[in-house]
Amino acid sequence: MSQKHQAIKDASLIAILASILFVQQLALSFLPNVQFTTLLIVLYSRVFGFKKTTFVVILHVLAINILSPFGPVIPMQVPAMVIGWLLIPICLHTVFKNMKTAWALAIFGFFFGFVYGWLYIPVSVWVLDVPFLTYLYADILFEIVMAVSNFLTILWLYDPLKKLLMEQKDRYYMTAYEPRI
Amino acid sequence: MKSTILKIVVSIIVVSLAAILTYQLRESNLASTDGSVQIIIVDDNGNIVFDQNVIYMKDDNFFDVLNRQFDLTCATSNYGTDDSCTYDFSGFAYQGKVLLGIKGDGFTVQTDWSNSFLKFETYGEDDYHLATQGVSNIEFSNHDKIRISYASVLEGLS
Repeated sequence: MSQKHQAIKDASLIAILASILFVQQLALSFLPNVQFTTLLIVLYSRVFGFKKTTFVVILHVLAINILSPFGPVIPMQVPAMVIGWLLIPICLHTVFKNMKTAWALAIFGFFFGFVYGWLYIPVSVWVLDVPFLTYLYADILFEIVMAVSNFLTILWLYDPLKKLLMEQKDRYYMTAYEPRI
Repeated sequence: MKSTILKIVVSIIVVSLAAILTYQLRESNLASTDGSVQIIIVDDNGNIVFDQNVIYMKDDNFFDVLNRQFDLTCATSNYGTDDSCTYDFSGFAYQGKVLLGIKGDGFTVQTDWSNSFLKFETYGEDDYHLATQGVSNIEFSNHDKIRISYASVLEGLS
């Protein structure tokens, strides 16, 4: 496969992965903080690598803030959202690069649920003037829901989805179209 | 097989613990005694149209306090206006009304949710701070000061 065709395939794949992320988040938005986003970003990081996952995360944040029928987060919270989701590929390719089992990743997802919530604290406290402890206390229910949702989805779905994605990835890159010269 | 059983057991434990914690952390913020709160209402021009102490009774929530004193307009499930204030929003972490308008003697402050909303602030530490709960769950006690202001969505919260 030529470099140009590889790039086209990569771009298409990134768009598809970002679409899956966007659609599932919208579909589950009636349940606050219950989502497959953490599971999918963990999967993408492990199966497709850091670079592609980073592009997917940036596309996802743009899509959520531009296209979501529920509206964007306030502009000052967008960096927290980007940093939050990027923390997964960053951590899984640095300090937790040896973390491969569903159990270990589920525990990582559990704690990530809290960290993701805390990333929104600085803007809420310094810009929106919400008292720190009040915000922390009010948000903890949502952090618990996200932590449990992350833990359960990764624990039960990481292994079968990883197997499926690996097979699809191999098929996707194997059936390259080679133009005749 | 052993691994699946372990997964099931751990999942049940995690969900149960989360459910217990969520139940314990839910708060209704009802008044524990009779008392009064100072309520300040600011209209869409930034003028203070109401600034008085309002009496509350034991077991009132903040919505009850307002409802006894003013004519209120709440939101329906799709954020239309509901003058009867019968609809309650409810979820795992919240339950209560969404307030769109307040009408008192000589003033009306009305918002539409899409372009404007009512901003609730509680006074503490020499300044007003945005409330982190809805109107039915705002924490209050005797001699507290709560400001309700018209806010435009485009202008933001500051």
